[in-house]
Amino acid sequence: MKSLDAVRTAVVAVGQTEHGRRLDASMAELAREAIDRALDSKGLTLEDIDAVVAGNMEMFEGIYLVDQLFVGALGALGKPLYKLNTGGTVGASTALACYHLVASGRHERVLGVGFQKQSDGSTQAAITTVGDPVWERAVMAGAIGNFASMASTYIAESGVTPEQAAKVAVLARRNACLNPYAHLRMPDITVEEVLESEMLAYPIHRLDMCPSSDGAAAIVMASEDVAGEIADQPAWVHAVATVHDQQYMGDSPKRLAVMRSLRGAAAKAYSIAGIDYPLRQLDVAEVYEPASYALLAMCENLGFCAMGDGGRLIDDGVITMEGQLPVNPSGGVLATNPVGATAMIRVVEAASQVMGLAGEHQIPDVKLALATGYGGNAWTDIIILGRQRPRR
Amino acid sequence: MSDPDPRVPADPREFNREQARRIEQQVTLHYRFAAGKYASRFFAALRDEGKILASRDRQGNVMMPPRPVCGLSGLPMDEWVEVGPGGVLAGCTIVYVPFIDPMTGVQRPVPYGFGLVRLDGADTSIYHLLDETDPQRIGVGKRVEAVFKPVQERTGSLADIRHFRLLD
Amino acid sequence: MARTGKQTWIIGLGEARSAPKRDDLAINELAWEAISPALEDAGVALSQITGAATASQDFWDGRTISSMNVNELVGGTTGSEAKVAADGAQALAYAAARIADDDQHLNLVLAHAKESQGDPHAIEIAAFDPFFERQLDPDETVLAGLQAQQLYATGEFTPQHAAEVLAACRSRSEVLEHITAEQVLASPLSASPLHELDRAPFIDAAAALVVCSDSMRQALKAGGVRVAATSSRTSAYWSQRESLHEAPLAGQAAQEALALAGWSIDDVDYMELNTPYSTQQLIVAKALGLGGGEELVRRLRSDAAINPSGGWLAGAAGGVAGLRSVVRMTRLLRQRPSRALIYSTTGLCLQSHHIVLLESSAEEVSR
Repeated sequence: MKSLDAVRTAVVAVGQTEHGRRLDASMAELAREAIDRALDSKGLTLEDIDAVVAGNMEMFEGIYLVDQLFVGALGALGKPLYKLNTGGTVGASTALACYHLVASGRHERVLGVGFQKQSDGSTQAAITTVGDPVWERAVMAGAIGNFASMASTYIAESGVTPEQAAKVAVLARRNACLNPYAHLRMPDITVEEVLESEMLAYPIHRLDMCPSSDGAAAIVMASEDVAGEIADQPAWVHAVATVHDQQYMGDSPKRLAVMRSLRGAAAKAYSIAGIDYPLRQLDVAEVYEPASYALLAMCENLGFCAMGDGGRLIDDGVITMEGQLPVNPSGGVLATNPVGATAMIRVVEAASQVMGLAGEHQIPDVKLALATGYGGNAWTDIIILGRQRPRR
Repeated sequence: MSDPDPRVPADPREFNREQARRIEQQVTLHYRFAAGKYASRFFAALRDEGKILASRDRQGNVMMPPRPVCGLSGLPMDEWVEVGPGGVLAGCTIVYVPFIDPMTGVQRPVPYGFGLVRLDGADTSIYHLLDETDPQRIGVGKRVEAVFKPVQERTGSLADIRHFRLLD
Repeated sequence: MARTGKQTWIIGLGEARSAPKRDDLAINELAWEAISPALEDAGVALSQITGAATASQDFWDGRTISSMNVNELVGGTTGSEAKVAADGAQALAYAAARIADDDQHLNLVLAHAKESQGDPHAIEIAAFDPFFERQLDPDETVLAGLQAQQLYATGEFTPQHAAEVLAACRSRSEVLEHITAEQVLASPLSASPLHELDRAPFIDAAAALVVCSDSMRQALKAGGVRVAATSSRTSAYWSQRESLHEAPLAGQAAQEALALAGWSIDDVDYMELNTPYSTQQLIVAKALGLGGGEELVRRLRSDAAINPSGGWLAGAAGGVAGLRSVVRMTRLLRQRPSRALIYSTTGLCLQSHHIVLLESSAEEVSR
């Protein structure tokens, strides 16, 4: 991608809804709320948009061809409309599709939106259908059983403790207090409270898990020819990477401890962006962490510390708002999780940090930010955004 | 025009969540999944012979569940090998949240054990139920063994293995 | 004006043996039946493939993240897969974008659907507005009936015309039995004025391409048919459209693609129009500027360069139809230097329109 053929591309506008249980709005209204906020923030209208990419997991609300039904709300009337549904990654896949459609030279300005209204449907029923119908559904235990089993592997490898995981859960909900869009904002949450919360599946407590939310998030990506006209400080795309793993849930060895796809995607993205020391060179990261333990495992696999040292990152305060590399100043997935929008929120937050739009949870002087999406079967998307236009 | 419900304002900007209406609907989807040539052979061997079969490519990768192509080598998997019934826990948990069993529509009793089992001879693992509910007795690396349902109860499904039993 | 990056070349083709019911194969096995010959055709191994763009629908696959059924078979293991929930023609457009910006160099494009596994009415009803429409128990055929009624009301076309066009498509099918216009009109009404046979039957199908950048094509010493342009446009949801019997945005999508390629519609040697209903052939052909009235019907019925494979009506699955046509047209283009236009659609009542333009050179044909 660092080639003369790729058009340099930037995020020029971002928008998101207040997330949570949004009984006041339909799913289409949520999507439009995020789109309008993104467009209005830079004085854009739908006239300026060449194509739209929509991300949503349609089994959650039971609407087939949801992009076609909501075409008006999505601002895609008369335009190319791409619909992606790639699981937890979908919001990031949507952002990456926007990038490719601009960087390829095909379009100048592309709108991407991720949206979900989990209170409309049955989250458990939808997640059950993630399992292979022939091989996996007969013995499934839902997302929580799956994450708990993965956490056990990670604990066996790294020796991370329930207290360290609980600290992650606390940090997320406290950070969320500085983010007006976040769902779970808990200023007074303590490690003890997490450890005493209901045990869902050993060792995962209720407060170790992400919530189910309603919400939407949107971006506009633009080519270098027009990005500067739209935003004084665009968030330039320095690297994107998508990497998968094998097909079934039990395929990847030590799946949460050694996250093959995350490591592969990070290696590719760092190489493109010229990052040798992510802990030093990145200024902020928005990591897609569905459970407390996962964040530490992901930080290890992203190279923020040595493998097995995830617990130290939280004990030593490395990833707090004031730390060397703040991770999820927005509160992350542990605070807010409208599935189809969740990974798009990571991209919106990373872009906001670069553009200086993050408000109370703004990290000072962000030059380089990383966002990830994770889902499907160990499927990873990474995007690295920066203040400077990338060099050829 | 008279207002149908005076509590819901005509101006949408004055609308708030207390006035929000929800509409109940059931979306029911029914499927007949073709199991295909790999699963058909696998489930026949499981039901009739109590054997667990995996697929192997010519580099020696052994994949469970069996499948047409090995993702690691990209090679077709045209050999069958028997794996298990013993294995090692690669991941495990005790689940306390109620879960509707997708095959039966019935809530599975809690708590129950759930684990990722690396069957002896296989390079990948499968999820299955464990016959243990004490979190202190399970653990990554512990040995387990498949416990089959009696022949007459088997239907040709992964549930023909009732659960995995901890050996140590 | 958008710049065009690196071009995309098609170097391998494959199709599963499609049929109304392939219950001998699981979804991944059906997909492999298309992928395997595509790899062989291109002369590359799966391990060389760095990524893929796939098209499938969660509702038809009965699975959230339906691409998880196939990601291992398309080079997804430690590679990179992208999935669209639309026609495979759009997956090809996505793959082309990733090749143009140098993210990918050698990719699979796959579309798969096993329509025999789901319950069509239950799935189709889920595509309707949950607040205002589902209570009416609608499905796609009801809308196609409304659309046909509007079309015939203009006086330009008759049920006989639609039936004749359908019979012509079916006469090129190797999957479905050949039928006459009289048989179509004699079949029971499904949603008047449509007859049961006016709809394409449900099919289990998969189609695959191996695509690559120009530099990769040269490195592999492969021939190849070039993707000259892709384009798409989305219309309003059906109930927001006054005239269901017109598809002006299909014409716009085609015009944009032709402009990008620097062609006019007269430069096109082969054309495939993929629509699930016979009447929609007339609507799309008119929108693409192929004429009107009796003259258009005569052309659709007898011009061997239009729908040479019969398109969707000759036996394809929703979401696979467009990519199947890309496979079929690429085969034709390999025989002589020529150009093809492929139309396909997603959504209710011709809502989204996808166009792919293909071109072969003398160099390719001489191989």
